[in-house]
Amino acid sequence: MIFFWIAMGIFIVSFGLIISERLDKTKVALAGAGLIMALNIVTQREAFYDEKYAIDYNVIFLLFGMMVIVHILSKTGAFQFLAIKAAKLVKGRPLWILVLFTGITAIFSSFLNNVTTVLILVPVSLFIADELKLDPFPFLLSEIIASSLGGTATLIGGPPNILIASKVKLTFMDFIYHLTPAVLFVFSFFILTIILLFGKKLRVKEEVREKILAIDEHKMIKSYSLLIKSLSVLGLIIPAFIFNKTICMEPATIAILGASALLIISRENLQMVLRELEWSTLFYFIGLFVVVAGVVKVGLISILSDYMVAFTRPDAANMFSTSIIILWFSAIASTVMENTILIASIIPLVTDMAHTILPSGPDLKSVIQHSTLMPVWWSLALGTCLGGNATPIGASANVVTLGLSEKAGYPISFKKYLIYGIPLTIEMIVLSTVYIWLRYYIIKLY
Amino acid sequence: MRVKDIMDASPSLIRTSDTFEHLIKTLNEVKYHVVFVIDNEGSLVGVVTEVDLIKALIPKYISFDEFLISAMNENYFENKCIESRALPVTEIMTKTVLSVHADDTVIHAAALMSVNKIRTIPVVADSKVVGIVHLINLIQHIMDVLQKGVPKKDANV
Repeated sequence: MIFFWIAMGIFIVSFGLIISERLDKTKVALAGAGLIMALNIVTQREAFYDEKYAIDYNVIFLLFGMMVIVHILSKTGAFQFLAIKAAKLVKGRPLWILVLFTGITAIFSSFLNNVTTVLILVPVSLFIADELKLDPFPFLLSEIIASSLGGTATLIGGPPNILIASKVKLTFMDFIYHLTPAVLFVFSFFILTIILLFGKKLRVKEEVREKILAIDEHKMIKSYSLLIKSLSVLGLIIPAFIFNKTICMEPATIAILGASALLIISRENLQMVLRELEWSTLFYFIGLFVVVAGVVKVGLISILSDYMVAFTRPDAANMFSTSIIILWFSAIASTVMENTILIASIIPLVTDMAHTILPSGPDLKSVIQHSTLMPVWWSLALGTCLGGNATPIGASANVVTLGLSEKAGYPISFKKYLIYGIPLTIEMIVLSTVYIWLRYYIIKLY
Repeated sequence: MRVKDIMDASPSLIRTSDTFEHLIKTLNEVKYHVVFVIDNEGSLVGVVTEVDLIKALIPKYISFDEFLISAMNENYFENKCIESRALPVTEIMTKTVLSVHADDTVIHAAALMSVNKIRTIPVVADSKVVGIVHLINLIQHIMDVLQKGVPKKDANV
């Protein structure tokens, strides 16, 4: 019993420190993990090797592999090339550049992480806005939101989806089949909204547009051979992710093979590549997994899930109300909260609830992938990823974009962001609600 | 040795109300190619060197992504020069200037310049600029020391 309170104490303190940003989240997670193991709440053996409580190395190595591949690919200039090419394709018309950049951001972000995506698109957008003498705000706002939409669309789009996929044993194709249509549905309304909001402000004279047409986008490619090598590796691993069940390879295995192959053929200096990776993110996850395993093991999560069952009254046959509550709850919570800790805590909660409500099957998968439970997982992914758009601090991509904008001399105030962020987020969550309701409870397309 | 023994007591000054265009002309004429910016009360608020002038013409987003350098328009620089004609000095200068007092030691000034990688440092008294120490003054001082040896005793000690 004493361990129950200690584990809960460690969890609440870590949680509080992480969301208040009083201490770096990686430091907090590692300290929490150290304490959990020191007190044998989860033993080191369990944390490292146990089937149920161990650190999810599938997540760690998938993130690591993708970081390596994306880092090398981003050094080629290919993304900047595509952005400029798109701007020229629409002959420098600002509204169409906005639409295309928003689309490109969503596509890039569906296989790059959200922060990497905005780090590539934001400078190009500042450049285009400067050349066209326009306020960059519409571009930056749309790109922040598009990066989160794109990140929701696929398994490798971002850490929340990678976590869900790993814990619920979902495949790349599951995400393509269930979440990509949801994102396309929300995205099409989002594009319409930004056209209505900013269309009138984005008009420039023909001679100004000439400046965009004068850019030689080919100069942006720094190395064609590196580009070809990176694209060939990407061209092999994306199909491998899609058919991972057929070729019997877990996503982490594919990512490691891809990363190591690219490191070898690109002849990049290993030390230089390793220095650029986001190690703090990887170790944050390692720590987080142990802390969450602690609260699961002492039974805190089962108690919370009992409350949730009592509150949402899920029905084994129809979990509509549970889906919608999870969608809105995770959306509201993620407006201020680091979304990975949120999702890492809700996953065991929903899993526990599933074990209580649903008939037990031959294996774990038959319970957590029970057809009535699936809309709950998709609601969780949509809510967590999209909720972060409401505030300037809701997601890392927002913080990074606003930081760059301020440094470049276009500060965007907290208030200005909220005026657009909150209504747009509400719109997207309402649309997600409509999607979940229509697809799973009216058309019943599982 | 003290700063007052090696400083140049005629620093070039410019007011906060001046513009880019005025600054360009001034900077070209003055000694050491550096001017200190003073406000209406005559207090030191900034410094401008040739590097600051160029920085003001280059958009900051370029430093986020060097790929963009190759995409920039051929006449970007020239257009920006014309647009910046009336840009106020306050948007060009480097703020938070380091300074020394006339009674500070030479090593104090030299160390500040070396650590902060700057070529000049203003000498102030009651926040008014009374002199300048440039690398050239320090080099001159080194040559004096090599010729005449270390001065026996500082008169102020």
